[in-house]
Amino acid sequence: MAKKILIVDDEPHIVKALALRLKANNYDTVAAYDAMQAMKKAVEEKPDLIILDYKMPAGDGLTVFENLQRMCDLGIVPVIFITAFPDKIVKNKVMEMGAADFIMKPFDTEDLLNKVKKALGDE
Amino acid sequence: MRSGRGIRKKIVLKEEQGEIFGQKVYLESIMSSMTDALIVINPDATLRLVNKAALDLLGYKEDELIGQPMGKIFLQEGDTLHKYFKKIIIAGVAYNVGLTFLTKQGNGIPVNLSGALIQQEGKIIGIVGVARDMRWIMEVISDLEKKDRELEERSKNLTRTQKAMLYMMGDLDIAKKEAEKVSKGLQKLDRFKDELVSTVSHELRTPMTSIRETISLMLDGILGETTEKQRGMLSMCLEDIDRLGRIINNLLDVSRLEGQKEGIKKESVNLTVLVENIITSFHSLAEAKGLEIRRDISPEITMVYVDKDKIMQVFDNLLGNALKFTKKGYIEISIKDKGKELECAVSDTGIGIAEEHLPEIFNKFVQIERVDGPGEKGTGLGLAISKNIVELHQGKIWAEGALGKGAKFIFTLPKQSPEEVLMEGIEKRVASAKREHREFSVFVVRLDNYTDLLGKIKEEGIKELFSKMLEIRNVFKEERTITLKKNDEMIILADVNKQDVPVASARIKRAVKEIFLETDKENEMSFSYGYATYPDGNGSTKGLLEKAESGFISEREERLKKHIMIVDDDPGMVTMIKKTLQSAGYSNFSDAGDGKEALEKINVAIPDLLILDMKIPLMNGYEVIGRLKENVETKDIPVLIISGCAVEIERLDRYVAKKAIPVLEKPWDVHKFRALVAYLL
Repeated sequence: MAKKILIVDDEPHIVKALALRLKANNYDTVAAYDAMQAMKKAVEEKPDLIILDYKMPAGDGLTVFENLQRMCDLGIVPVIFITAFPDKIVKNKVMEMGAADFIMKPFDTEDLLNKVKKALGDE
Repeated sequence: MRSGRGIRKKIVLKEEQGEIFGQKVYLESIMSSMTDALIVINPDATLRLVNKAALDLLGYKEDELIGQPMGKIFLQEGDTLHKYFKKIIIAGVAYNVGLTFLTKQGNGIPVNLSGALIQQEGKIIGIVGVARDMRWIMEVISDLEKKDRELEERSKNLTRTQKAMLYMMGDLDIAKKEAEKVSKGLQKLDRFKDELVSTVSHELRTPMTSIRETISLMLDGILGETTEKQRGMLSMCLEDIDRLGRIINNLLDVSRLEGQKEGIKKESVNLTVLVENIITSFHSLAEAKGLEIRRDISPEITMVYVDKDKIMQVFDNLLGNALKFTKKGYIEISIKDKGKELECAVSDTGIGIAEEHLPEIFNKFVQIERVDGPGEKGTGLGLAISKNIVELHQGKIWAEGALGKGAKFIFTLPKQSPEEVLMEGIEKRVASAKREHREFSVFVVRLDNYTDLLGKIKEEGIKELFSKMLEIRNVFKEERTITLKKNDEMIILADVNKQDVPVASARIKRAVKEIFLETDKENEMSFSYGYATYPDGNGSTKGLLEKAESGFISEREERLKKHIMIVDDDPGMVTMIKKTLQSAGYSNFSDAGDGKEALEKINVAIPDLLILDMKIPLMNGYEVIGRLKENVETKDIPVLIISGCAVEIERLDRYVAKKAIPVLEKPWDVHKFRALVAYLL
């Protein structure tokens, strides 16, 4: 069965492009466009991996991440943070908090797919 | 009977006369002995009586005044006098008036006349007045008046100065406000610029992400078949998107470097290793182009104090450029020791740079007409960033070469000794402390017997020791600077005020001792320490360090003088402990055989360390410790518990774990014992 990936980003263009790319690589995708939706979809869809934008409306990615961590079934779902902030501090912060990986926008497709694979334990 | 009565009357009269006579003499002697002038005035305003002090004051003889009108001795006119005396009469009691005596010589003497009515059977028979010479008080008053005038004058002057100062202060205030406004404006502008760059870069990256991924999806055929021509164009788009990403990154770098938001973080860097890493990272690219990367590095060059990441970026930029513009031949990295500085150079056998372009190539967005080779396109910012980085290191960067003859980029890095790096660190602190009107302190810790130690624990051991010592930074919460000045000396810069220095130096001492306790099993290490607080030492960097080093206190000497109390009911044990410590140099001991005696002695002289046997008579060790903890003065006395076999080990274990008191079990290891004592003192 194809693994399910929840893509969370307030930019629909990015979500769409990512979804196409991941589908082409045999992943199921679910999309959310803000923090509230992200929580809702995470609970409903029980994804295998979450790709989470760091900065979003209605609660940022960090809040979503922290909330997920508190839930016993979702706390174990790997989260890859994705951000356009060129800041090392952000990377260090999320990695320290227990994120599976970190991707910088704009991302290299190959790099993204490798990180997804790694986070899903499919390597 | 009658005659008898008459005789009796006579006798009584005589007695009365005698009494009156006696009283008269008595009064006269009182009057003449008075230092204040006394006058008695008849109801007809003539003088009836004038005492000696009055005569002396007025310069008259007694017969010149008695029976004379009182106006003779007063400066005041008759009417005025009358008014005064009337007041006395109305008041009926003692009444004070200020009058002026007129002397025979015609001088006026201010007097305070205290007058009272003399009445007999309701009839006024005169006024008695005591006059006090008020000349002294007038002198005082005139003196006061003079001083008053002077003061007034001065205060006038003061007000003038004050006013001037106030004006000046007003001006200063305005100037200050203006400066604050400007500085705030600048800060705001700076922040705005930072935010702008950060936001713009974020906002640019987001659409770039979807564009890039869409192009990538098309290229990979996920959105349907594409022709080769289309793929060629899409590849170009992808390259340009990636270039745009690099430009944004470089712009951020430039903005940060120019704003000096990112100060350089210097550390000891092995330059040879750094260059080797760079060469390795370019290896495959060079190999693909059939280029050789050579190195010419003086063997003695190893350690430099630079910002590692930033210097790597410089080499990265220069080597990337060289590879890009060189088709055949080689690229060489050379580092030469030029005495005060190191000269690093990256040269190539490529197309070179026209001489007229040499001065401008370090400007932002300058890309001279060089035919690009394969690989990433430039951003026009690499050399500008390199220049910024080199200049932040107080170095210079320039280019040499001619068109067709290859290019050579050279930059210098000043050689800095650890001392110079330290001085630079302190200078920075001094500057910021000056700016923010703060104090900060310099602590110096020096190993006493470095050469001995070098023989025993070797250089590696000492390096390990000092790397542990660097952990002293954890003693303070804020970020500190800790530098090794020499092999055996460590400098700690800390935001510590003068009044907090004792606490801070105690913490540092404790931290150093903790490290010694872990490392030094033989208990042979000792250290000295010194400190100075800015703005000491004339506020200069050198002065500050000199002051810290001039007041070196040997921790060992300080420690050996400390007072150690040994409490044990076994005198043999007390002697043994003393001997063990005496052989280590300690000399100040006291002892007690039971708990009560111990507490009594502690109350007289508080020891610096208490070596305590728990099983002692009258009051056991637990209670002694408990009592000590109750008292503010004794609660911080360090305690070392000596435990014998007789003590219930379990209880003691629980106790010391809770109270964090070290225990030494009998029989003990002498070195461990001394190390513990040294740590606790």
